[in-house]
Amino acid sequence: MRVQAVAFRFSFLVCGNQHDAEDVMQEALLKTYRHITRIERPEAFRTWLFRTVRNFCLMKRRKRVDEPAHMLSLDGQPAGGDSSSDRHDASMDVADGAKRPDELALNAWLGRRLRTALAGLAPVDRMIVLLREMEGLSTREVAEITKLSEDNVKTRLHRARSRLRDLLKEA
Amino acid sequence: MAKRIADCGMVTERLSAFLDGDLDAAECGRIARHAKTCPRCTQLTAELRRTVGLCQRAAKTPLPPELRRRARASIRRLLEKDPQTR
Ligand SMILES: [Zn+2]
Repeated sequence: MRVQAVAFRFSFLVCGNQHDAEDVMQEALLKTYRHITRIERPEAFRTWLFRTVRNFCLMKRRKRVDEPAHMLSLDGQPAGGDSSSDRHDASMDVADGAKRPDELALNAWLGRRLRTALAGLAPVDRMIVLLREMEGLSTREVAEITKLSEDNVKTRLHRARSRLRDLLKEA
Repeated sequence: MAKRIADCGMVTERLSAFLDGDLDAAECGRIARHAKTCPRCTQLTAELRRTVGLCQRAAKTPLPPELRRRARASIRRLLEKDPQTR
């Protein structure tokens, strides 16, 4: 269950809702089972898995452009609805979202305060925080997954942490 | 005074690298020495450390049982469905 749990947790955070997370995890794991014999270095595995999840989430996101922004809209485009702030994420609205089971689950798991603060980060920065702090990946692994340079990952991580610190104070 | 302000800027900019152990001994020493005499940077360091800790602890919290159950169920469905993985 280790791989599945990691894939699901990350899919869940990236997609922001349970339904998409299940689809994404299934597709990513199916690909994993099919290709597992071709993954030569075990340490490359999780990078590969996260990159696969990231790509499936991106595809999913493109298919749903007319729906409200999810927790981690990787392209950074707020989709429809309230565009008063491009940092606002509709799926993170705790007030009326609290009725949905996956909203409740996210709140119960991350805590409302951290979740609200994470929603205030730019999508790529949020992904870097998730991979680096929450999944414990190295800078090099995060760079491979996000296709950014290591220096860029470090710069963004620092910016994201500082912003998160401010947002936690406000939350 | 100018040196002190310059050091505050350096701490603000390099704090993540400091916390992640990416700096050499000389730079670490400079940040640690400065933070000892500067309340602003002491606070900044503590806050950033807390922020990182909060994220790391959140990741250690297991997913709620209902989500885990659904994840397991969908894995089972996946394995039953796909002939290549049997
Ligand atoms: Zn200072």
